[in-house]
Amino acid sequence: MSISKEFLKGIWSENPILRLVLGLCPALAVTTSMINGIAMGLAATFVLVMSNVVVSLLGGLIPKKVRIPCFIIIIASFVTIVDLVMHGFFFELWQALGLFIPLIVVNCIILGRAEAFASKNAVHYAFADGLGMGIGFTLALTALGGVREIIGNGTILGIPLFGPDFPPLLLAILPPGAFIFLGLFLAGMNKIEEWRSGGAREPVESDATRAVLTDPKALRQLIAAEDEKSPTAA
Amino acid sequence: MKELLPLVVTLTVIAAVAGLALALVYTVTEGPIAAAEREQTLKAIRNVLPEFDENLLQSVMFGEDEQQREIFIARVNGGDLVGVAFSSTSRNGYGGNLEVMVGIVPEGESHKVNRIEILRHVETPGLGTKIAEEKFKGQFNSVNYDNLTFAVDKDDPGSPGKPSIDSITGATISSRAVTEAVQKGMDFFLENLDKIFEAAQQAEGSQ
Repeated sequence: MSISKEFLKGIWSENPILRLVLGLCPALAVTTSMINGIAMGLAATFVLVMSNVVVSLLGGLIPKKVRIPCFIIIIASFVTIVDLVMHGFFFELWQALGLFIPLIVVNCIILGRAEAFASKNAVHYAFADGLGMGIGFTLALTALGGVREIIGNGTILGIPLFGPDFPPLLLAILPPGAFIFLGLFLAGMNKIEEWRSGGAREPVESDATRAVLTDPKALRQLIAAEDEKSPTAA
Repeated sequence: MKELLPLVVTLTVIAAVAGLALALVYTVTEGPIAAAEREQTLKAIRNVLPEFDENLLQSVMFGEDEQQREIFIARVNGGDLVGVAFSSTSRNGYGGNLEVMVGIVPEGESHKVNRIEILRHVETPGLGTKIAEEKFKGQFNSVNYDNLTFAVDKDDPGSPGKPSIDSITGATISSRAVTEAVQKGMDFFLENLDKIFEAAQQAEGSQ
C-alpha cells in the first residue's frame, strides 16, 4: 500500500464516475456547462477530503452501531460549510449549482469512501484516497460539462468557439444529453481499458455480485460479513 | 443500558462539535452572504431604473403576510423621484416560479415599465433561459397598457400600435410566464400607487 497508489486509483482505475459509476445524480444534473462541472467537483472534493480525514481520525473511537449516523453528521457539517462559504463568496456559482450543493450530503461516493476506506485506514492514506477520488470526480465532471457545453451551446467556459453561425445541438445540454454523453464516456473508458489489458473481455459479473443484486438476504449477509471484518467493531 | 451509553455519548459529542463548528462558520459568512444578496438586488434595481442616488434608495415593506413585498423607491439628489422597482412572481414558469424585477418610471401623467430583469428562474437551459437575453426582455423596455398588448403573440397577435410580445421559439411557456409576471407587477403598481407613496412618506417621516 502506497500513498501515490491510493491517490492515483481515484483518478483512473477506480474513477468514481467513469469506473465505479457512483454519484451520478449531480454528475448528470449540473454538467450543463464546464464551470458548473468544475465547481461541483471542487465542492465535492473538499467535502470528500475533509470527511475522509475526520472519519479516519475518529475511526477507532466511533462505536460500530452508530458509525453511519456519525459519518452523516460529519459529512453534512462539511457540506453546510461549503454551502455557506459559496453563498457568501461565490454567489453566482452558488445560484447556478442551487440544490445540488446540499445534495452532496447524500452523494454515495462520500459516504462510500468514509465507510469502505477512511474508517479502516490511517489518516494519510485516507487523505490521499479522498483527494484522488475527488480529483477523479472533478475531472470526469469537467470533461462531461465541457463536451456538453461545446456541443450544446458552442462555448467553452462561456467563450464562444465557432462564431455566431454555429447551430448548437441543444439536446446535449438537456437532460437526455447527460445520459447520452455519460454513456459515450463510459464506453470510451471501457475501450481504453480493453486496449490496455490487451484484448476484448467478456462482461464481468461474478456470482457474488449477481446474488447481492437479486437477493436481499445475500446483501444482508455481505454487510454482516463486512461488519465482522471492520476494525471499528466496538 | 450500559451498551447504549457509549453510543449516545459518541453521537452527542459529534453532533455538539459539528454544531459548534457550523456556528463559527456561520458567524464568519453571515455578513458576506447578506452583502451578496443585497448586492444582487441592488444590481437588478440599477439595471431596471435610470440612474439614481444609491444613498437615497428607500425600501418599503408593502402588503401583509404572504402578499408582503419589498418595494424600492429610487430618487436622485434633491429628492426627485426617479422610479420604483419591485419583484413580481409568476407561478407558471416551465420549471417553477419565475421572479422578475420590474422598474417603473413616471411618464407624463401615467407610468410605464422602464426595464425588467430576470431574478430567478428554473427554465430549460438553452431554450427557456433565453428569457434573460436582451433580445427577449428588451421587448418590455418603455411599455405600458397604451403601447403593448400584455400577451405573447401565440395567444394574442396584438393590434396596430399595440404589438404583443414575440415569444421565444420552443419556449412559449417561459415567454408567457415573464409576460404574466410583468403584467402582474404593473397591475399591482397601478392599483396601489397612492398607498405606495403614502407608505414611503410615512417611512421617511419616521426615520
